Amino acid sequence: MMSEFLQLERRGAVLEITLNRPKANTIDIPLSLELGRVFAEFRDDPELRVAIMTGAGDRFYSAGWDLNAVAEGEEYIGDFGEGGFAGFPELKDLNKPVICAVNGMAVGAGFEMLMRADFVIAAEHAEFLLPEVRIGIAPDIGTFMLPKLLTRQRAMEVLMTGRRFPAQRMADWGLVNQVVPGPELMTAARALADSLLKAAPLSLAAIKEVVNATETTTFADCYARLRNDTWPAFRTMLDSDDSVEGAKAFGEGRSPNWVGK
Amino acid sequence: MSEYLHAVRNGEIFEITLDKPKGNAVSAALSREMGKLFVEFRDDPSLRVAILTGAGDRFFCGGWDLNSVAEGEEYTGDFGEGGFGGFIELPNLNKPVICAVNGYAIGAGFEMLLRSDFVIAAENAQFWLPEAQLGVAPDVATFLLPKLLPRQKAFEILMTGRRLSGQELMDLGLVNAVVPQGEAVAAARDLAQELLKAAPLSLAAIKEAAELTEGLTFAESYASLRSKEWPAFMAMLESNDANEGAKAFLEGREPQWTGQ
Repeated sequence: MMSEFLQLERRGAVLEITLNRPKANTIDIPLSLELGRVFAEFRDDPELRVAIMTGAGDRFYSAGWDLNAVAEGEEYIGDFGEGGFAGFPELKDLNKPVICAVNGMAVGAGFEMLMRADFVIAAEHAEFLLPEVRIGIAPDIGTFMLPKLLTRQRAMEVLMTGRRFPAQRMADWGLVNQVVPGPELMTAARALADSLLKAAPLSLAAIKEVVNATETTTFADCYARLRNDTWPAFRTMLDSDDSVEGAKAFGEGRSPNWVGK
Repeated sequence: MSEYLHAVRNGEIFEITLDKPKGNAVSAALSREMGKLFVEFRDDPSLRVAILTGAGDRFFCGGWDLNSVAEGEEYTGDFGEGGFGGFIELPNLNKPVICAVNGYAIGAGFEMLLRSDFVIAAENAQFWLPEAQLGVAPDVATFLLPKLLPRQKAFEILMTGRRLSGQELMDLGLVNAVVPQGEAVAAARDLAQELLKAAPLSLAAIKEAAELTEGLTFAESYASLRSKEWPAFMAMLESNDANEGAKAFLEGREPQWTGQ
């Protein structure tokens, strides 16, 4: 599978996706649909365990929704594919980690997708902004998620002012895991991916499943659901050979060999 | 209007000053008056941003007036449709509220800030919840702090009654900026001017959507948006201002918002 605007590379169990759509790596509906197919393939291929998404060049990670496509009639509440805008934010059962390596400006929906990434590594020159209010519209993901991820005051500062925020501020606020010099961005993202490969795949799947399933569940209800076996990936993890292998390898003082079963 | 409130229209900015010596404490009657001002703000299309501050440099708001409590006001009494302080529970208040905290914010005077969209604090401001030491308990803070902060930090503020500085609250994300004593209102006006550059319907859509998705998961939030049943959000998408914004961007000029 290949699109003229996407570069895909398999590096062992890691899938690297580079958005390369000059000049600003904006995304229209066809490209979003394409990304949705790439992330569905990543999800469904048992050989692949971690995805890294980045942008080509060092100026833009993604400038968000393509305003030319908007001018040609793409609708705000349109069909961006089963994964939603950029392919992964809404993809069902995507129980593998997604790392975004932010190589430059993340603008509008290009910033919002990061709020659904599991990890964000940013180049120190990267900037983050939601300019929607200055062009007469409003963010969607940012409006749903920021008040849950941040305090109301910080959320509204990002949502309502349209200000540019430096990578370090986003790291201070917890939306970015690590800030690195630009040339070291992919090295840092790959090192993180490699450290995730040391975890059991079914463990990571169980974690993502439960985090997504309990987003608005009270603590008491979370335990009630766990005890009722509500979550398939969690149950699979508990019953897996890997959970036996993990304990055994620990006891024998060696690295475990994960089979994903 | 109450003798304890000053309301001034500064263009599209509505500036409300709480002035009840000595501690700017608020009784149920004063809270209802504040509610009326925030209704006026909400319903007047020529007003776009509200700033609430306290008179003097010592107190922003000393919270619930203990004299009224002594006279029999009930904890779960009628503080008006906007709740304590006039804005925290007001339905459809889809315009930004900035609190300019000029001095101490105590008890309910601190708690109202948790529902303010922006908080600017003067360096001399201090923030604390003395309720547990007085034999009562906070309400707004008890609901919201454990959702806004880690449990450990929330309980420190709720249970110890310790005084916090503006800088501490800024580090926790509950204050947007700390400025020198006497400059909170000026800084709030600068922020209000910045907010006036945004499309009014965009800000309304954001506040409405934040409110409507508060208890929803991410997937439920999108499903709700796609039901196209959010009045302010749909008004924004179908507005002339949305066209004007895109047009002005492509023409490299400042947009002219009409709020329609």
